[in-house]
Amino acid sequence: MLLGSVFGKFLRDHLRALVGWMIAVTAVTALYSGFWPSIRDTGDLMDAYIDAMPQLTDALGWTDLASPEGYLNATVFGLLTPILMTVAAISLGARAIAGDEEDGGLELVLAHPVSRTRVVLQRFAALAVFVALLGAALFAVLLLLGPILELGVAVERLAAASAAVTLIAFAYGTAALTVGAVTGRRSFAIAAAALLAVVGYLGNSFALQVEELEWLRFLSAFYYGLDPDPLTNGVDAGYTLVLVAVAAVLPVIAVAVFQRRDIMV
Amino acid sequence: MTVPSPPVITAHGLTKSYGRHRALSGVDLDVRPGEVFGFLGPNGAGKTTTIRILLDLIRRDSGDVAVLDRDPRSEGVDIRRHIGYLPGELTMSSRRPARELLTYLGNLRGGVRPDRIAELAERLGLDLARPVRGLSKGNKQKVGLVQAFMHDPRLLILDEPTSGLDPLLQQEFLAMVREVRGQGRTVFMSSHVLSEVQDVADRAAVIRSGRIVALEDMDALRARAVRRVTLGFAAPVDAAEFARLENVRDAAVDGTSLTCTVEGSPDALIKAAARHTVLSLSSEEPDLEGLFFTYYGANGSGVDEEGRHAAG
Repeated sequence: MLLGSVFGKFLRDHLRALVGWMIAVTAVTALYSGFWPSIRDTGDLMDAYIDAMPQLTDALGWTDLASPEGYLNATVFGLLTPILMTVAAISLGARAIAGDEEDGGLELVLAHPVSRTRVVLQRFAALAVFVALLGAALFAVLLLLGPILELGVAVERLAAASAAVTLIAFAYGTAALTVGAVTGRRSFAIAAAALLAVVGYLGNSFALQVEELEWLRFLSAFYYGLDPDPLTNGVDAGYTLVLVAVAAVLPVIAVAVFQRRDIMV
Repeated sequence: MTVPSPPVITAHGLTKSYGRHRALSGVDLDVRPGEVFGFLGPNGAGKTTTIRILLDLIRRDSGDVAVLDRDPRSEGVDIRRHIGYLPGELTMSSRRPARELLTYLGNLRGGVRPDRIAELAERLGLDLARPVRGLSKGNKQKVGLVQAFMHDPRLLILDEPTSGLDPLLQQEFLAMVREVRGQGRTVFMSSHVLSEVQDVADRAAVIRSGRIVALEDMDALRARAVRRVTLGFAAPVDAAEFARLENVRDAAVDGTSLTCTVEGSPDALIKAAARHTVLSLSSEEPDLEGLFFTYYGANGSGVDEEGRHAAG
């Protein structure tokens, strides 16, 4: 059934990668959230730690390690899973057009009766499904471990935070796909998207300590995804819309340029 | 093809540059329905560039192109429905088996029967269960041939189809090409040597430095072909008897052995020799390649030198 379309075949070709990344996301999420009971029991100590190094802990977003939301924000949502999922999304996004083009596979597909628009959009859709499944793994782990670890975070808040992280990763994956579609170079796609992600991450953490660099956060998907603190406040429509808009506009650029250029050997 | 059809491929003044490098500087082509057309030239002459323009993988700078009476630039999807394409460099990196890739590619064309894929694979000796990334060059080429032939397209565009195939498979491939022609379908195949296409092509064109420098009907070429023939007789013969025969030149007798060159049909020579007792007969294959390039070199275009170089 997956062999019927460009979309399905692309997912089928990356099923192994998908399973691998899902295991990684699951493991990291389970590991870090699993520490919560012991962190909670030493809550006073952690608060003292934060008081001792306010700048560092503030930069890392560790404002409140004594509450489950604060702890999860500092670990699972603030650092590890967004980075893991972003790396996964960039690697797949770079492969979607540029990687396949460099490998020679794209030439064969485009010699068939399929339009370039169709190839870009279906692989974009496959990337969306891929990242969404990683987000679903993150959500599922927290949903399952929540009662055991006594997290006490409402299901819709967990879903909101998981969705925010998914959108962050998707934004950077889409950037990689777009740069790849425009340039045809996988290395450019990876480098550009990774640069954006690193600047985005630092822009929303360490750069906040420097007043002149504060504007950097507006280039950061991390800012739009995590600053509203979806784990505490639920979905923020405005900020979420920014991420959705980025993911919607980039493929349009990708299609427009990809339709006009030569396919490389 | 029941009704007279327009040319399958026409190109006029086709140009293409990559940056400052001029890949095509005015290519003209005219491929008729139902013929096997050889497209020859050295590596880097513009063969692959031309082919990729026909499929709308790259876009021409100027000139007119029509494939199956349509412009690839605007109706590429429609055209490609009727084309089977074998890329010159077939790299496949998937861990998935060949059968899956072929099924998928068939589905992009609206589905190809599994038994059709199996039949072609068996004919070429391809194991469909093996992952494509681990296949040898020859086996990858077989996957490429299966996907190009499997949907019985009106036009086959094959870029260096015989590269990587062993001689036995080359023969099988040529048989497949003849069958396609027998059904009135068209084959456009490139090669860097004439010998790979001379047995099957109806016509051949040579591209050099982005320009067509020669176009030849293969039957006419064969009629001009010169071959060296040696006959061994039971008794001594007279050279003069053979020297004046039609198509025979340079007849020389050494005892009971006659050597001569035959241009075109050896019919007169054979009939004359039949009056004697013939003990042995040997004939060198005509050097069509040499003839092809000599002929065009004689026109003063300087093709000879480089053409020969290309053929080597």
